[in-house]
Amino acid sequence: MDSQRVDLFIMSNSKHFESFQLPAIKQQLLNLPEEKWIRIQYVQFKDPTTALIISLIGGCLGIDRFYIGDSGLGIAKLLTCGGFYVWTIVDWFLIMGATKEKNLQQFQQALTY
Amino acid sequence: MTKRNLYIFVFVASLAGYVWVIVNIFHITATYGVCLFHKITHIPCPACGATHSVVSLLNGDFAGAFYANPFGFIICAALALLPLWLLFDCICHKDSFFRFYKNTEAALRKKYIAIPALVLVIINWIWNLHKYL
Repeated sequence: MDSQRVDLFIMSNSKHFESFQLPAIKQQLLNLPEEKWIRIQYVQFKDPTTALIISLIGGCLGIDRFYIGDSGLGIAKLLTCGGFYVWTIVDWFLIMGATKEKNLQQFQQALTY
Repeated sequence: MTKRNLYIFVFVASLAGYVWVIVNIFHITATYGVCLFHKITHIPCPACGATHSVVSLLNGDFAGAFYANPFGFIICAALALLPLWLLFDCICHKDSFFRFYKNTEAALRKKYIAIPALVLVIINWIWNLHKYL
């Protein structure tokens, strides 16, 4: 894959991934065949900042977990009023990392299919 | 979430749930005594009354449990089933609960399940507001 396009992808999507994941992602993109590149470009990654804002506002209802696609944990959070609020506060610090982790999973999924 | 993390999380959550229910059986607190959402906003959250509901269920008062919060039925079923399910999986070296969890997550992303579930939660919340506000 053309390194300029890969650099552009990395620049525009760097906030969606952990910084230590970026070199591996870049390497994977460089070795990517053309037909998979189109699929990667259409993947909608979740914004960690949006997840944090949702967590601050609707964390005790589990909306942040539903947003990043963790529906099971979202239900658990909703039923326990955000894990007696303890889980809600813990998630304020964890949700950005969890979102980036989910984005990486989505990226890997797009590569395999 | 990996299988190991999920099992540890569910085990700890069930343990906390059991401790909380036992504490409440012997010393009944107010319906929304620990709900910080209620303390901060003075609005009951969708889960307010769930502890009261579980305690009522354990006393055999189904109507009282439903009135306190219908979520209590789901929580009671989860507390009764999940530890046994985890134990079964651990003993038999299976991953049936993990697969169930993944399938449930996938099902909840479908609109025809997600939207009715959301509507039910909102209706329950409105009912909670009506009861406890």
